[in-house]
Amino acid sequence: MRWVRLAAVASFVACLASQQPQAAHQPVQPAKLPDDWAQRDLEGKWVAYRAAVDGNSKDTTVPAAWALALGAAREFELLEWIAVFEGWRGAGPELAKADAPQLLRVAVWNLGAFDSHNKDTSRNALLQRKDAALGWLEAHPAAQRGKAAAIHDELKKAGVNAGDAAKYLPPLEAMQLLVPLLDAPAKLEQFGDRRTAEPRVRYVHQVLRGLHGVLVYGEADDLIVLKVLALCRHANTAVSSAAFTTLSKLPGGSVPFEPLRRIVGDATVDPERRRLAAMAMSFSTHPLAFFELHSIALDAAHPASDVAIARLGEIGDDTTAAVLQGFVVADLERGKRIGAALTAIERRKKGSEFLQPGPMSTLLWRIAWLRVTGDGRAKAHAEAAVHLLRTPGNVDIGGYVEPFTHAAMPGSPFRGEEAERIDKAVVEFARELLRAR
Amino acid sequence: MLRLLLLAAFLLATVPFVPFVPSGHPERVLDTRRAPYYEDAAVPRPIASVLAELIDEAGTMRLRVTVSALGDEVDALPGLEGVHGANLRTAEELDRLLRDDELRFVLRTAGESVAGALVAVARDHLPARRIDADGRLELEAQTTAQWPVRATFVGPPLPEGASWSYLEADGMPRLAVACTTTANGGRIVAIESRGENRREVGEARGARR
Repeated sequence: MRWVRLAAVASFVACLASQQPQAAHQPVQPAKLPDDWAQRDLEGKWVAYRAAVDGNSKDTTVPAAWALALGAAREFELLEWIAVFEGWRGAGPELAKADAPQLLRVAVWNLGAFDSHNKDTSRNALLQRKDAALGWLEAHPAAQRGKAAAIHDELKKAGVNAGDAAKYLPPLEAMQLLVPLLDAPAKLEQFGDRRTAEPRVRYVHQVLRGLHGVLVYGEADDLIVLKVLALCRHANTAVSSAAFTTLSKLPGGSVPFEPLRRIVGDATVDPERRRLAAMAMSFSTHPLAFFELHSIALDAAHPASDVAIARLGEIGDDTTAAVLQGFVVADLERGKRIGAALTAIERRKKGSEFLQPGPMSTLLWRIAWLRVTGDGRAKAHAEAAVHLLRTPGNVDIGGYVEPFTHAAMPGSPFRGEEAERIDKAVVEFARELLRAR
Repeated sequence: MLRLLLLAAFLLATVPFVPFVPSGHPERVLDTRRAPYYEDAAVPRPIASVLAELIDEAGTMRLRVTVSALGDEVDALPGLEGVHGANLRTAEELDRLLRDDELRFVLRTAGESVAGALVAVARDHLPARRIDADGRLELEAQTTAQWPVRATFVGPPLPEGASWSYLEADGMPRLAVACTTTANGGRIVAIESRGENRREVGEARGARR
C-alpha cells in the first residue's frame, strides 16, 4: 500500500515537473543596490548600473532587476537616463508604474527610436494616459512637431480632452542632452572607482552613453551623423567601435556612405577600423555601397575583404553570385567564405526574402539609380531583378510590387532633386515589373 | 507522510524536464506548415519563424506551434551585431514574456477561449558579430548570454470544422493559426502575424514544408 502511495506521489510530482517550462522562468527580483549608493551622484549611479549589467553579461535578468530596484527606490532621474539612452523597454515601464514626472517626455523621446519595440511600447504608454498626454503636448507646442506629431493628431481626432499635465516635466532637448556627449575631446578619462564626477572632465562612458542615445532619439539629422562620424576616428578604441556600431544601426538611407567609403579606402587608417567602416557602410541602401562591397570582396589584399564577402551573403543577389562565381580563389579559407556567401544568397532566394518591402525597396532604388545616372549596367541589373523576383516560383509578385507603382518607400538614400528623379524611376520600373509578370 | 514529502521534494528537484504530451498517446503529424512571423511595424520584417503542426493523438487532434528566434527567413536586428537567420530582439522578448508569464496559446471556439500549454523552451547562444576590447571585429561570434530561442506550445483538442488558435503576448493576439479538421484528418489553413500598426503582408503565405 505504501508503494502505491509512493507511486502516486511520484506520478504527481512528475506531472508537476512536466509543467516546468512555465515555472522555469521565475519573475525577476529587484537587484540590491550597492552599499555606497547614497554617496554616488547621478553619474556615479549610472556607472554602477552599467558595471552591474556589463559585468554580468551572461545573466539576461540584470537590466530588469535593476529597473525594479530603481523603481522601488524612486530613482526616477536614473530611470530616465536609462530609458533615454538605452530605450524604453527596461526603464520605461517603471516610470509608468510610478507615474513619474519624467514619464511623458521620456515616452515622447522614444517615439522616434529605431528599435520598433521601444517605439511601440512608449507609444502605448502615452495612449494609456491619453488625457494627460494631450494636455502635455498642448502645454508644449514644440513637442507637437516631429515624432510626436502623429500621436498629437491622433489624440485630437479621437476627441480626447486635454487633461492636467502640470506634474510632468517639460520636453527633453536633443541639442542639450545628446550633442554635448557626442562632442568628445581628444582626452577622455575612465570613471574608475569614483562615486561622483569631477567638474569639466569628460569620461569615456559618457560618450558611449551619447552614442546609444542617438539610436533611441531616432531623428538622425546630418549634424548628429557628422558627430558620430567624427567619433569613428577617435583615439579611444571603445569610442570609435561604438561610433561605427551606431552608424551601422541607422536606417539604410541615413548611413553616411561616402565618408565611410573614404575610411575604407584610406590605407593610412588602421586596418581594423577599415574593416569596421566597411561593415558600417554595408548597411547603407545607396547602390554605390553595394557596388563598393563587391570591389572590396574581390580584392584579396583589402583588410575588409572578409567583411565584404560576409555581408554580400546577407544582402547580395544573383548579380553578386555572378561576380563571386567567376572569381578564381587560391586561398582555401577565402574560398570557403565565398562558398558560404553564395549558399546564403541561394537560401535567401528560396525564402522569398527579395519580395519583402525592405530588400525590394533597396533593389528598386538600385535599378532606378543605374537608369537615372545612365550607368551601363542598368539593363543587365534590371533583367537580373526581374529574374530574381520571379524565382520563388508560383508566387504572384503583383501584390508585392504594386505598392511601389504609386510611390517609392520612405527612407531614400538619395537627397534633393536626385531623390525625386530616382523615386519616379522606381515607380516606372515597378510598373514595368507588373506588366512583365 | 514526512517520507512522502521528502520524496516529493527530491523528485521535484531531480526529475528532468519531460516535454508535456497532453494525452500520453503516440502522436501522428497530419500536417505541417511554416511561416515567418512579421513584426508589428509599418514596414514589417520577418523577425521569427513559426512552425505549426497538426497532430493526431489516438483520434484527438491538437495544434502544436513553435516560435523561434532562429530560421533562414529571420531578419537580424539591424546593425553590425546582427547575423541573418537570428534575431536577438525576438529572443529578448521571448525571455521577458516567459519570465512575466505573458504568453498564452489559446483556442477560440464557439465564443470561448480554451487555454493550451507551453511545453518546451530551448535556450541557446545566438550567432552574432562583435567588436572585442582591442577594436577587432569578430565575424563569427555568439551572444554571451543564452536566450530562449524556441518556445513550443500545444493547444487543447481541436473541434471538428474550422478553428483559430492564437498566441497572445501581453494580452494581445500576435499570431493566429487557422485549421480545419474532420473525423478523418485535417490541415493547417493559414498562419498569420497580427498587429496594430502593420500592413497585413505575409498573410497566409506560410510555405508548406
